[in-house]
Amino acid sequence: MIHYTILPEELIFFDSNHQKRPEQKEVVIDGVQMVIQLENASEATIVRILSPNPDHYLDPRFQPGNKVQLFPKI
Amino acid sequence: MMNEEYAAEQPKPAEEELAKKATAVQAIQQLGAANVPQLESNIFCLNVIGQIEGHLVMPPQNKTTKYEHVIPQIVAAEQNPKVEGVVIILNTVGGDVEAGLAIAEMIATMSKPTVSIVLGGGHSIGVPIAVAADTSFIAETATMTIHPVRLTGLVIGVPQTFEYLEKMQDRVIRFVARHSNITEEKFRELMFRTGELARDIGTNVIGRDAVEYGLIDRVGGISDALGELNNKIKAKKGELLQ
Repeated sequence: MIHYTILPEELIFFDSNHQKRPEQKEVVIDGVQMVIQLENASEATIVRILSPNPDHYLDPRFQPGNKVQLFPKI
Repeated sequence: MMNEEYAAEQPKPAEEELAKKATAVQAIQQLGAANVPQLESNIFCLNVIGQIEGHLVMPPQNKTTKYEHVIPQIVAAEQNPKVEGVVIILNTVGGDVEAGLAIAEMIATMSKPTVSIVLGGGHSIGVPIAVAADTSFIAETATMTIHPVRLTGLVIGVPQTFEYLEKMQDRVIRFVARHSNITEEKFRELMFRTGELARDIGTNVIGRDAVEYGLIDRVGGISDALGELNNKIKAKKGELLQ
């Protein structure tokens, strides 16, 4: 594999910040693909929207930083 | 695993739903909000940010654009009749050669109108992605670094190594020359120019320079890019009507 980038290798592959990062997951909520960070079992924060549909970025429910409630459905 | 649980929220065939109910107490999670009607846009926005991630998963300090996200998205955009045009927004430092060229080839071979815009930076493997679109734009302050491809890790000092590297480089050079107005010779010259970059050989082309070299079609911002895309969409519709 060849990397063609302006960033030096040590910056890409060496993580100088060794502290544990909060768990992030890629999920689809109401058809919008996004990355969330789990806060606890029932709550998560939106980190980033991955959807290619520009309208999804205007949805007030899916702004980065917003909390989403997760609850089990039986 | 959680990804699958969420994905289960997507509409499914009725019998599958029934089968799922029959298997009973299967806890799945959902968002606690009312369903709003899905917003529809005729433009598909492909955001290429950070590192372009290919076969290796990058450590978490990297922001990445993942090959496995982008490729199926482009297939979906090509297939979906609601998508009429594609805008590619680039602000990338480069990344995996194979993944970058794959994305560039996908964009170049789409039948729908495509417009790319380089904001901030479109460096290294970002260059072929930028030129792959039908029309490419660059913001006045955006830069593109053109430098040689390098081998990292264990490099064996034999002529074959050099030949291999040269071949990999030619893939990038040929693609760029084929999809922009720059010649292979000129691009190669920019790539190996000395005295421009502080710690490397190559060239840093900024905004208007990229247009003068023929690498990018026009200098412009988001309104220029979307205006051009809408014109292309209209022109394509006109063609279909005739």
